[in-house]
Amino acid sequence: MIEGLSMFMEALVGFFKPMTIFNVLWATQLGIIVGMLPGLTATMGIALLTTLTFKMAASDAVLILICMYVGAIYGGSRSAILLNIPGTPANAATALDGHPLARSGNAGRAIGIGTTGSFLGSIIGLFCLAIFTPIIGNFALNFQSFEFFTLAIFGVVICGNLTAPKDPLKGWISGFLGLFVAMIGMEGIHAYVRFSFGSVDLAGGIDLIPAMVGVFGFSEIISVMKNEKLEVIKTEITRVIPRFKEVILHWKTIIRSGIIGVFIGAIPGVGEDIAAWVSYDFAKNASKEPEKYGKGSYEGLISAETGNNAACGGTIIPVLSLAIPGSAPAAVLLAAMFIHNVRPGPLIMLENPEFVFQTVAMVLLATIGMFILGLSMVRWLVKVLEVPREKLMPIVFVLCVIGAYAIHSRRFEISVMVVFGLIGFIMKEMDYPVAPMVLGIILGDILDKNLRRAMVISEGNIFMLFTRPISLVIFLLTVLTIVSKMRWFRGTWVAVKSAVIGVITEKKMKEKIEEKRKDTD
Amino acid sequence: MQERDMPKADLVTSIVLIAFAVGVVWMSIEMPRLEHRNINPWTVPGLVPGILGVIIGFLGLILLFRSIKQKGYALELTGEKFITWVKKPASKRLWLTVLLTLAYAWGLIGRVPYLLATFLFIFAFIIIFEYNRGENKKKKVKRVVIAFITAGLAAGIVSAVFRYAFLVRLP
Repeated sequence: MIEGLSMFMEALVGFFKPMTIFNVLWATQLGIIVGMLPGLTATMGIALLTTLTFKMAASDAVLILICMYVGAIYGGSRSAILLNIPGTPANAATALDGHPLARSGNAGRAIGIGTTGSFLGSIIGLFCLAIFTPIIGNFALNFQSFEFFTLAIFGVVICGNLTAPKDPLKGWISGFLGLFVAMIGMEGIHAYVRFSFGSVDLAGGIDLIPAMVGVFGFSEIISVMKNEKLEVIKTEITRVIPRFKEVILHWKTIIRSGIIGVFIGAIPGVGEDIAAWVSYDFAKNASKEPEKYGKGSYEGLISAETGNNAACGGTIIPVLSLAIPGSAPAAVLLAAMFIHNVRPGPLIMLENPEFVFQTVAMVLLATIGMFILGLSMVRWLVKVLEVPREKLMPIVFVLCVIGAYAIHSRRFEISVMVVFGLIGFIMKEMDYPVAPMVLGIILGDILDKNLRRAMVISEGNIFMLFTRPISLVIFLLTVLTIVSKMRWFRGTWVAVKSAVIGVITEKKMKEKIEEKRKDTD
Repeated sequence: MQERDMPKADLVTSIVLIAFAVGVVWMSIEMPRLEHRNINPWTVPGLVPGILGVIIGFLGLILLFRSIKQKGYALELTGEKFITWVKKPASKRLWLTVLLTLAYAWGLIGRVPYLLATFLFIFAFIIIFEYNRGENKKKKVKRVVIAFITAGLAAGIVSAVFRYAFLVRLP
């Protein structure tokens, strides 16, 4: 613990250089702008910046990407409040209460409260990142092939469940298609080229960054251009900096949403949007004024914003400890770490523990940058929202093309970006979540190698999976995740619950009648 | 896509998924077992893709049965419906976006110098989407000039930044 604290302090002191602070400021500001603009997401911003920071030192590059990440997840709240259109999917819940507040003339106050919620959520996230990454990292040292195999399946299944709550079947299809995409190209055990159809380009496999730029960038451009034009509401932005009393009033909501955000963020592939929705839902259920939710509740706004920014810290926990991303932006962050020769995963606490605490320091700097920049230049930044999509979107597409091309200087990557963009658009139109597919692309290699290794170790006895406690637990969790979405299970669960509650209520009623009888006697 | 059309879309998707899964399983079975290298039979390259193919096929079958249950087989595809869909402003914007972006990514890039290709794409995109037949000539000229300047500046800045700051050999 003390060692961790000293590594964190050392990293923080190391970052106090004029150039680093300059990088934090511009990257966070750019992140806020990217997040603000509908059609530009955090994932796309990080993916494009990965190509721009390609030649930088690892610590500088990762710092810039984290600033972009934290800034963009926060920045989306601006358009959610002012346009009723979330800048990033993570801010969808913010729009529910943020926009009615802006309509009633409280845009400045809503932005201030939202910014404070994001700041506090991010702080909770970074505390959890510092505490849980070493614990999970050390625990993950016990993981072997069976555990990694079950973890990969669990990741895809739970991600499919949570990103498509109405229709998890589509989430699972998306996840397994992603796993298949990872099978294309040269496999890692015998160097055999699969599904390349004689193409030299396909033999190298599908690179994650161009695929993600396509899925999260190009597909968004098509969606934005297809939909109706957005109108920025004309509202005077008065006081932005919130009063201490206004924030402290919601301390329970902030802590609850922060913890939920971190927890949801740490689940593979699920991400900030689900974290915000779950936080919002919990806050509404616990609220004394649930009727105000959706009509302009500050509590609702703060719960969503705390939840999504807390998830940023949460998503980095599995990135560092297991090399499995907690969300789509975290997936690009993971890919960027590999590009810069940082090897996250179970061995990180043995090989490079300093990097874990460096990352915590980076999140802290990004959070401070986001808070300062978020509360300043508000009126000026609102003008960015007025840039017409007809001028913005072609420039964004140009960046998608050159961003995909820049990593390997191959036109093949442009084609990957375009194809995945079209696939992503069709999937979104048909209610298929794209996050499980991206997670599948990342986990595909882990699944492939570890399943085959496990089969070799067990001499083809797959049942060995049930004799290992960790893999058994993960397997049971996977089964439970699937079964919990089945109608008969839910029916049985409700029946059992009502029966148990019924018995308890009956018992209580009898006790009360007995008490009354005694009193009258 | 409208909620009521979803079972129909699901039916088509499920058929595509099942066909895809059958193809994957077949190709996985056909993959060499590499016996001449004396590899462990449990590490054959087709093992995992084959399993994934079976799972995708199974999920596709569930989707198929579900869409049939929701009467997704009543596709009701008529030429009239298609024309109505094509004429919708949203559809027009969709096709224009896809056409322009594909023309840039697959047509211009690599065939025309990057700076020119980028300028042409941005200029055409802005002009096509901002064109308003009802506007007077003066406004139209103004739009063209602004589009020209925007496209020139954006193409120049992107090219310069990637070429000189990030040392990327432009396509």
